[in-house]
Amino acid sequence: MRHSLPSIFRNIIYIILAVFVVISPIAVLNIFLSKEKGAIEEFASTLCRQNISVGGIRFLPPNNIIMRNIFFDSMLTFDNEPPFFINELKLSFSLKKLILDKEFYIAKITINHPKVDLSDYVIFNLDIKRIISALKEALRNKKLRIVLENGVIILPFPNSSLHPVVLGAAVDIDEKGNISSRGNLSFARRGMYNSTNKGDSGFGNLGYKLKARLNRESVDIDDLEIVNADIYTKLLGKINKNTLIMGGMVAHNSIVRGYKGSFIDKLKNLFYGNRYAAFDVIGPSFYALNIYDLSTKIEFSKHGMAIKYVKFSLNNIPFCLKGYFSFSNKIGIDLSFSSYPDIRSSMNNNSKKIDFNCSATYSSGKFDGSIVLSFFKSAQINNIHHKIDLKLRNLSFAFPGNGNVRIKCLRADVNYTAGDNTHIIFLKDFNSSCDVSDKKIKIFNFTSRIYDGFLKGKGYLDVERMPFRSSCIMKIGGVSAQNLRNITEYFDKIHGNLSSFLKYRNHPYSHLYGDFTIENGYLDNIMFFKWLAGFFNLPALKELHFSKLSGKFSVDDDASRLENIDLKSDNVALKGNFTVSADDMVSSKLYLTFSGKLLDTSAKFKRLLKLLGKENAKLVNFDFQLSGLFNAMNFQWLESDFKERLRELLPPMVERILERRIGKVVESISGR
Amino acid sequence: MVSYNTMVKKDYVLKILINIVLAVLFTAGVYASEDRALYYEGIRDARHNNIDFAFIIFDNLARDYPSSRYFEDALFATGEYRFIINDYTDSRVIFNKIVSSPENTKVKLFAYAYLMKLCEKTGCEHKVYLGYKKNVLTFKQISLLFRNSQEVTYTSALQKVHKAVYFIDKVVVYIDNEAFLTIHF
Repeated sequence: MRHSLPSIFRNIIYIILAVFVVISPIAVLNIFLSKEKGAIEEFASTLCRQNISVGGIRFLPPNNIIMRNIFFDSMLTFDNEPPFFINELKLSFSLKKLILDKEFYIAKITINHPKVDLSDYVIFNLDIKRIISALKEALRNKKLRIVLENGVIILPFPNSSLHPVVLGAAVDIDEKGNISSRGNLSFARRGMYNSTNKGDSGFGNLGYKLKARLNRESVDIDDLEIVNADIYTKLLGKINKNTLIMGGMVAHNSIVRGYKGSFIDKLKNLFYGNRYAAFDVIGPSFYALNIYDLSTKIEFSKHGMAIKYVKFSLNNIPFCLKGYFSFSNKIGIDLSFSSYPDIRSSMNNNSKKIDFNCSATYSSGKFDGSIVLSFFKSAQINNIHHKIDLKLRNLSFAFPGNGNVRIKCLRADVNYTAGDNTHIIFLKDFNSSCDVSDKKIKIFNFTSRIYDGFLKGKGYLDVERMPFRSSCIMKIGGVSAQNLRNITEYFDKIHGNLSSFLKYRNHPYSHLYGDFTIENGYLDNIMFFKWLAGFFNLPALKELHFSKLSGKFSVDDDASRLENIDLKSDNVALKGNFTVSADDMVSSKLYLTFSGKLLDTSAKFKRLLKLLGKENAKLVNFDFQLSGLFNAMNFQWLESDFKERLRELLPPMVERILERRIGKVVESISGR
Repeated sequence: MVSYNTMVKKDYVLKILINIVLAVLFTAGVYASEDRALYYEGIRDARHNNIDFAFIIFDNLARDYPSSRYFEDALFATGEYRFIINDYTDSRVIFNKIVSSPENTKVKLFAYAYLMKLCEKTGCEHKVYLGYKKNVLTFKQISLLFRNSQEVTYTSALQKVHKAVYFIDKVVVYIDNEAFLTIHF
């Protein structure tokens, strides 16, 4: 017992000494590292050719150096590069090499919570050549493992809460420069990219596997597989200096068994979260959208990215994408996408040929530009050329969360040409919101000003099936009909306040239908009424004022139809229907009623009625049937009591003279 | 004073000129009358119901006199004959040749009618059929005030009366008063 106390003290002293022996070098090393922080920053800046600042640096036994709050600022050397921030960087060096060879050799780099914020740095450079040479210089024919955990890219849409991209990756590089990597990339939900995130997949998850070789100034990509639940992509190619050349295949709806992975991957995921993508692809299906001959050449430069070509065949139709992304003063996009890209005018009426052009500039979160879509649509006799030319001003996207996308556009000029017919629509203050959270059905709402009125609607897009299926309900109100004369020439001679309820669906066939009402307007100089006005000496018909004109309309690939036409005015009532088929053929019946008051204005008519013994008639009916070409219509005055009496009255010779006269008038109107 | 020799020379030149003019006129007359003679010979045969001989004659005419004023009628007759003997392939070729001419003649209207009938008998691309149909329907613009229809008639070289009756909602084609085709707008 006497010796117990000193022995305890002695033991404590031993322990303290042991701790001191262990801790003191660590402390000394940490003090040294703190003092040499500046030199380390300078060394790292030179190596990466960027201005790098380190918040804190410390040694963690047995073989780790941990740096916190590292900030990459390239403002000194390169313009327009976004800030790059690393929350924690762990460098694990080889103790064996240090003890035996006295060489400080970093065998593993763990990058924890790196973050690139592109929200204010839309314009940035992607200097691949510099990245390759920096990596090559850092490696110097040594093995290296780089692990990237919870990397975050904030996407470049300012003032929006667009889901950031979350990255997880592991890269192994051996002494010969062989690279093997796997990882995943996902769009996180809002707030998901904080430290508690363990790689939850969010709503979009892409896994990749890469095998490549690092050369002096290039990287040979031997095998790159990119997979998610619907898409399987297998590529190979080369990055030479700043040019990426790739070829391969893409399969949509491929048979992907899911994120299964090996036993080791499962263990890793159990302990570290679903950090490493582990997918197992059985093979692509042969009934879905498969691309087997993808060929790509992309050139990166300080000022932009030139897509020299992305060529592929989809369902045996060749496609080509070309274009340029400019990152200089303003972001500029100029893309063209074509099917049958090598086919010129000889097959211009090919209904499978599509040309799409998009050019836009991007500034302060808004796009200005134009989209042109050109294609041939199969018609009854000849394929008809269709062209949609969309000019957009101040187009912006916002992502307020919960899978919503909001689209705003200050002005949209839509110019739609089908054959010889051009329809122009001007929209202002277009607002749309779309729920893209559902995988199959995307529901959207929109409102807009259309000329002096409004347009609002709701619809959905079914993206599960190809081609996409869409339905839409729209309401137009308070628009002067005359303003719509650029949409269709029918409105050229119609004045009044138009409101309409429209429905559209593109399946099983494209069909727009609904009803319309035009109030307090007039028909100005319509040929049919002009002829009636001249023939019966009724000048009031040249400008026919009405209180209400209503009807139903229907437009599909076969015909445009106006049904239940109902015109109400003081002097004339008009009912009927009017159909123009896709090949310009008319089919129509019109029922006209003239009031006695109107007929009184025509001395000719008055006399005629007197001869017919109908001088006190309050209403006289005229029924017509029309047919033939829209621009050269046939017409027949249908049987009626009035016509029968007139026929009885007129001698046959006069009938024939009248027929001939009418024929000449009709031909002169039609211009045939 | 004009000398005798000069007068003889002038007379000689005049004679030569008159002979040349007469030779040209005579030759042209022979050419013009040959196709005319052939045509009327064919017509005679057709009237006597010898349509086989009529066909041979019209076929010769169409082959040998492509610039003749009777060419289109003769060609139509050969197409018509081939249609009658069920040689639809050659008949189609002939009627297509007729409709490819730029003039909008009555012959062309009835050639389109035959082509439609050939489509119905042997089949053809729907777009092509619709093209024929449109050409028949829009051949004539009609305005019917007191009448119910207007007509276009053509008597072919085979002496068959072709009649297209245009109603407001349909066109009925008759051959020798027998309904051949009804086309609705």
